[in-house]
Formats: sequence, structure tokens, C-alpha cells
Amino acid sequence: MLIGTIVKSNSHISYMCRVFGKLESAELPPPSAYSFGTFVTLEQVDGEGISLVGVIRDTFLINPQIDSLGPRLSSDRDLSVFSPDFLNEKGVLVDILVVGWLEGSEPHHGIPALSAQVGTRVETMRDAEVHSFHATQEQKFFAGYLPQLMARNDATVFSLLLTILDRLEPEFPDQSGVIGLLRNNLAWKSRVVPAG
Amino acid sequence: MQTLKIGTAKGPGENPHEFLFITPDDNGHCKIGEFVYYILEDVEGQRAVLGRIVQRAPVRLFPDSFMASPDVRPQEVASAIGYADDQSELFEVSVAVMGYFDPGLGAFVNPRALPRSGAVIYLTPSDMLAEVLSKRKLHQAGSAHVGSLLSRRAGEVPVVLDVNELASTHLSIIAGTGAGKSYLAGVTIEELMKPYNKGCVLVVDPHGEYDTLMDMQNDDQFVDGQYRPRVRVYKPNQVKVRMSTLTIDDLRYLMPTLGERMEAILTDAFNRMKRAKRDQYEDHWTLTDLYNAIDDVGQEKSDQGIDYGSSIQGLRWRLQRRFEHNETFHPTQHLDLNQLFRPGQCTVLQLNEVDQQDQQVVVATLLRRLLRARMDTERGKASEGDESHLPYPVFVLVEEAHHFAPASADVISSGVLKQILSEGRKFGVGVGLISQRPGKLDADVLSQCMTHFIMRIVNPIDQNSIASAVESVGRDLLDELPALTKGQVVIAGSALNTPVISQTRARHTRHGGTSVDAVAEWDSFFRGEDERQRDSGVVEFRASRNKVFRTEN
Repeated sequence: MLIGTIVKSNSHISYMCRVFGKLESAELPPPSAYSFGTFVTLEQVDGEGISLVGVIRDTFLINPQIDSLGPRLSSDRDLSVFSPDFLNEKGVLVDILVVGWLEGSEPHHGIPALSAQVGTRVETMRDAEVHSFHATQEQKFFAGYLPQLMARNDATVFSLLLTILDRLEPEFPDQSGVIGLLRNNLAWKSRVVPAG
Repeated sequence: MQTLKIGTAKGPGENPHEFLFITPDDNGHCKIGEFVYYILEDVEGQRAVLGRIVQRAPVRLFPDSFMASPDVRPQEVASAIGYADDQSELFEVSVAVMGYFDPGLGAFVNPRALPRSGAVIYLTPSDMLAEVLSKRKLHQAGSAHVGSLLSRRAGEVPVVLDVNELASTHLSIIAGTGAGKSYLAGVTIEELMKPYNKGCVLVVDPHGEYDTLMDMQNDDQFVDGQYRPRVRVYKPNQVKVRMSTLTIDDLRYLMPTLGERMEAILTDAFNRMKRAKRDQYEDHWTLTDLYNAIDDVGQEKSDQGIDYGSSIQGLRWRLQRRFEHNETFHPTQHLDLNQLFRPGQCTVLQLNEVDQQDQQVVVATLLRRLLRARMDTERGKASEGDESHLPYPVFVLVEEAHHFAPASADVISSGVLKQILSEGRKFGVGVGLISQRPGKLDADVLSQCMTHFIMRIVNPIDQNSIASAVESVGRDLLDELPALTKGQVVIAGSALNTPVISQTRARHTRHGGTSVDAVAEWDSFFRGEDERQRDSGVVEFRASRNKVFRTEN
């Protein structure tokens, strides 16, 4: 499902996506479509079948009215008639962390060479696509981006990874030992160690 | 020559003659004691400089958290997060440089030039090792093949000792109980008795476990043309010491409870008797001669108005009690050196039923006579036909050596053993000492042995004794001692070019020092007892008692 377009980047692997609002898409994405930990693809960036794969790691709400405490010509009820653009300025931004890319259907984990562009369309990945992105040719679990994310000094990363592993564990029942071990190590570092 | 690259030189090690290299050790070659080499290029060309691995430490391992579950291999976890290589570990290995082998010198020469950082380190090929580790070639005259290098496949690199060094500069075999020291001693004796050595060997056997060496006489491996080794086993009742070979110190040692007066009388009488015999050009004396001399001393004192009557009687009684019913000390018979020692003959002196104090005197008198005979023969004082004419070198292997040269006490055999260890080389008398308690063995005695076989030793006191007494074994090899298993032995000293860890070869003869199968013997006794008791009716009582017991339950 298309959820929005890239409007800004914070780094080579961190992008802001504005979630489609009214009048921007035939189908308005529900909040569950851009929830924390959702895997998305950033549409082909070079025309040769390469799409970036990212995960939503943060959400921001935009409301221009919050900084405008001055007098209004229209009441809230009449805004749709007299200032419809003003209503469109309210919206949702999601922060996407790129964790790999797809070359055709072949998954690669890590930092891609190419970047997304402003206007690049962002689409959520289906469960089968997420599974395929995390499976080796031998159908073993693979999360090569995990060390890259853990190296980021970001409080939300551990929760993000725990969310991802919780979601993937049922997908790879044969690999539940490995996933469980990684999950427990993360839980120890993010929950037990800080509390100790 | 097949060469295998196993690592890359990192830099100098802790000591000036050590260097470090880094290796993934894929094939598990980098064991302590293994041999590696690097190529040294200088004005004299390229030379392979050998070294021995002395330490190994991991420098890259999986995090502990990857080992949280025994069901999940850390490699799987690493693979899941993007480390696909199955080889993950890296080791830093410390190598002590031995040097390049100089065939002219027949020894290693340390070039004092360590490998440059980044130089390739190779595993020393087995054929190169076989060429340079041993001073002798396999089955060559003067060689003793006692085992093969432990770090290589069995038999791939034979450990061959130089028998001349072994027999002249003395040997020690040190091992804890059950480590295989008697087995190794058996192997060494077999090698000495091979047709290409034709050794002249005496084994002092306080436990009576070397009689299986008789097998050598009927084993084709020991036969070559006219040569077939002879093995003579002297049973405890055949071991005789002629009274006249005892010195006054021996007598005092055998009667430790003598009072001062009795000791003075004995010394006086002994000296008088020896003087009288010397005047008559006789060397032999008997207990009767000694009694007479004691009576003469008593009479002389009595004439001077001193009454030594009770001391004289007491001394005579003690001598009677000590010697008259003792099978070991005999007025005329003793072990003839020419029968004990002959090239191609292994003589086993079983002392298992002889009192320990008597054993020490037997060994002391025998070694004293042996050394005197060799000295007299070498100096031309003894000629053919003389009892003390022994015109060939001999090797004496002493089991339970700590009984004959203990650290804590000065026993009668200590002195002559020390004399042989310090002077025996010049006169062709070599000694092999076997002990399970190096801590109880005189440190001087141990340090005089120039070749050492050291097997599994766990006791820290014994380990320290070895470390302080044995110069030729490095700390790295001594650290291995508690981890050695049965038959594995550290061999170091003059009989080899460099210390090695060896696996003892299989014996050709049966091993006589096996442990008792206690359970089997108990079972056998129990069955026999059942029969005996059944015959005497006791078993019916036991059976009826069991029946009552079962009924009550």
C-alpha cells in the first residue's frame, strides 16, 4: 500500500516521508499502515530494478496552527470553505531508516550506494515480502542490518529491533533458537542493563 | 617437502628469542610444543629457522552472549547478522626460536634474527623434523626409538635418542603413578638391547616387575645373526652381598640403634680386623673375624681395667640378629660383576622381598664395586681374569630412585649414586633414575641427569622440583605436565637436539607393571570363598539367614 512520498532526508539512510492526506491519494492510509517497525520500500531509484528497503522508526505530527496563535478570519468550521489549503498543511511525517535494498527480488542488507529522491514514493511491504527480505537462499533467517542499527546511539533502536524480531520469529520457526537468542540479548541490553 | 602456511608473523615476543604470529588455526596445528619455521634471508642465503610453539592465546572470539544457548551455535548467530565466514577465531601464538639446523655441528644455531612483521610462518614438515630433532637415525647403531612426536600422527616423526648420551650422561624418568614410567623404562631397555646397540644393562627392580623383559630372548626383533640378547633375572633370594664388601659406614647404617660405645667398639674392631687382613694380603672377612676383633677390643679394654663386657655382648647380639639369619648378606657369596654385566645382557635384580634398608645397602655396595671396577679397568689396575676387570661401559637403571637418593635424608646409597652421576661419565658408568616423587628425590641427583623423560605430574611440589632441577625443559613444557595422558612424555636433554613431547611407542615385550584388577580379584576370591564355605556348611547358615530376612520383609 502506498503511504506517502519522501519529502526530506536527515542522512544517507534516514528519510522523512509525508503520509498521504485527503485529496492526495484515492485510498487514505490508516495509521496501522505506517506504525512503528513497519517495513517499507522506497520505489525504484535508478530505473534498473533497485528499491530501497526501510523501516519506520519514528512518527511526527504536523500542525501549522500550533505556532499561529493570532486572530483567524474563519472559524474552524468554515476553514474548509474559506481556506482549504490550510487544512492540507496538517499531516503526518514518518522517519524511515533504510536497512537495505532489493535488486529485483534479491535482498541486500546494509547501506545502499544509491539514495532516494524527494518525491520518491513509499509503499508498505507485504508479510511475504518482509519474509523474503529476511530469508537466505537456504530459507534461513538473516538480519544483516542488525549490527548497523545497534551501532546507532538511539534509544528507540533497541525497541525497534525487538519489534522486528518479535514480528519475524513466527515467520522462521526453524530459526527460533537464533532469533530468540538475539532477541534475549537485545532485551538484556535495553531493559535489564539500564535498570541495573 | 610439503609446506603449509599457518600464520603471519606479528612481531617480537616477551623474550628476546621469542616471536608472535597470528593464525586462524583452521586445522588445529598450532598446539603447544608444535614446530614451525620461517625463512631467514641473509648473506648466506635462505635458511629455515625453526621454533617451538610455547604459548597460544585467543585474540578474537565470539561474544559470550552468542553462547547463551547450547542448542544454537555461535556461528549460526553470527551468520544471521551478516558474518558469513564459518572461521571466526584468531589466535596469537608465541614461538621460541630454536634456530636453523647446522648439519656440520649437528645442532641448532640461533641466528638472533626474528621474522619480520608480515613474514609467512610455516608448519615444519614431518620429514624435516625427523631429520633435525634426533641426533641419530632410526635403527642406526646408537639409536633408541622410544616413541613419536605427539603433535603429529603416530609414527610420523620418530623420536630417536642417542644411546651414547643416554648411557654416559645419565637419564631420569619422572612420572606420577600410572603415567607409564615403567612402560617407558621397558621401551628404553628394549632399545638398548636391540642388535644395533647390544647394551650392557642392569635394572634394580624393587617391585619385581621387569622379569617380562625375558620375552626379548625369544623375540625375532632382537635377533640378528649370532646376536640374541640375554636376560638374567636374579630373584630376591639370589641377591647376595658378601659381608666383606661392607664398609664400616654400611655396618653402622644397617644397625642404626647402636649406642655411642657400641659404635666406637665396632669401628675399632672393624679397623683392627681390616688391618690384620691387609697384613695377611687378604681382602675377605667374615662375621666370625669381626666377632673375634670385637672380643679382642673387649679384652684390651678389660686389661686396662675398663669393663665393656655388656656393650661387647650387646654388640655381638645385635650383629647376630642383623646378619646371621639374613639371606642377603652372606659370608662368601656375592654377585659377580662379570656375570651381572656383559654386553648384550640385561640383568634384572629383583629386590621386592628385601627390606628397604638392605636394598639401599645392596645398591650401594654394588654401585661402589661397579665404579671401582670400571676405574681400575680404565686405569689399567685390573687385568683380565680379575674380579674387578670390567672392560666395557655399563648402564644401571634404578627404579624407585627416591629410596636410594632421597632429598630429606642421607642414606647409604646416596653418596655412591652422586659420585657416579658426577664421575661416572669418565669411566663409562651411566645411571637411569626412575621415580614417581621427584620432590622426594635429591635435587643434586636429578640435576646431574642430562636426559630427562618427564611424564604426567600433578603434584605442585613435584612440578617445582622438576622446574628447579631440570634446566633443559622450558616452563612451557613443564606447564603441560598435568595435562599429559598415559604414555605421553616430555623428553629433553643431551640425547635429543631439542625438547619434544612424545608418545611412547608400543612395547615389544609384555608390560610387567600393570595395576591389580581389584574387582576381578575380589570377585574371584568371593567365588572361591563361597565354595570353601559351602564345603564347610557355613553357606547354608547364610542362605537360611537371608531367607528369614526375606520372609520378615
